[in-house]
Amino acid sequence: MNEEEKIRREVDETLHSLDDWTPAEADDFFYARLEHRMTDEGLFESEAGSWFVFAAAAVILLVLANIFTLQQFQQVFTTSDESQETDVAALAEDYQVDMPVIYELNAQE
Amino acid sequence: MQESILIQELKNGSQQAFRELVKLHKDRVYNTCLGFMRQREDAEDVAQEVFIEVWKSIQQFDGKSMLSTWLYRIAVTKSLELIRYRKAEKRKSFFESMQSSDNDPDAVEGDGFYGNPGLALENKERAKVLFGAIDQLAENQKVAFTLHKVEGLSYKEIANIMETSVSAVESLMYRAKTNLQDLLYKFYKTEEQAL
Repeated sequence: MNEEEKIRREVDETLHSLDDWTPAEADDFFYARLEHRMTDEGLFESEAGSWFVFAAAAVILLVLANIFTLQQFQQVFTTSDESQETDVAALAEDYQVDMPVIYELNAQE
Repeated sequence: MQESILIQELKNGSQQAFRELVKLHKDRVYNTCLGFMRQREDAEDVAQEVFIEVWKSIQQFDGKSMLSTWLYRIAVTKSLELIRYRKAEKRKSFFESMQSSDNDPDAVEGDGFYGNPGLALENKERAKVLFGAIDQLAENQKVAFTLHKVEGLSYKEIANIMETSVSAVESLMYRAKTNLQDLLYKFYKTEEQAL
């Protein structure tokens, strides 16, 4: 084989060197790294961030529930004496606590 | 998931849809980027940038082309951008250190691509020579040849990605092959004379 033929053959083989090439594949952790990068760049909401929002919302809800309960109690304690007496009288009437007990009857006799 | 539904979900900002998109296209995007970048790390960086670009600009996707065509287009653009940037950086540092004789501003370093398990061992050296020659081609010839040889795309698919006609791609491929033959001939001729 002369030099010219040898060079031509090398050129041909080199031009076809990619013919049996199998496409490369990205590895299994490609998405995890991409997700991390996008979270760092502020494009994705981070999991820690969403947990923080959830926790903050839960705390705010709890505080509001406590405030509401306290207000309800305060309303009960700040009602006027008159109305308290009315309530007590109504309760007494309902449960008939003004009926004389046996000792009181004996004493009257 | 159907492509139109996937696109709509992406436009609604669904991270689940984005995960699905990446799962479906990551290998093709990575392989395309590797064809241009030759380095696994660079290819992964560019592939990540492709998907970030998709996430950022999905609202501008009009659906006139297929999603995969759009992804290839972004992958090619991003790869060429990084290559241009690297070349400019290398040239800058080359002129800054003219004393060193072994600095080639266009040289591709490392063996990430040639270490690809899909490449037969006896072809790795030849592939290295071939890619050295591809790097000397005009940009559009380089894109057409790489998409055809590395990604195995048809001329019609390449025409859609490059937003040109099939006959224009045929012409690019013809010129790319002719130029590569000339470049490789010169390379082997020099090698033969050096022996």
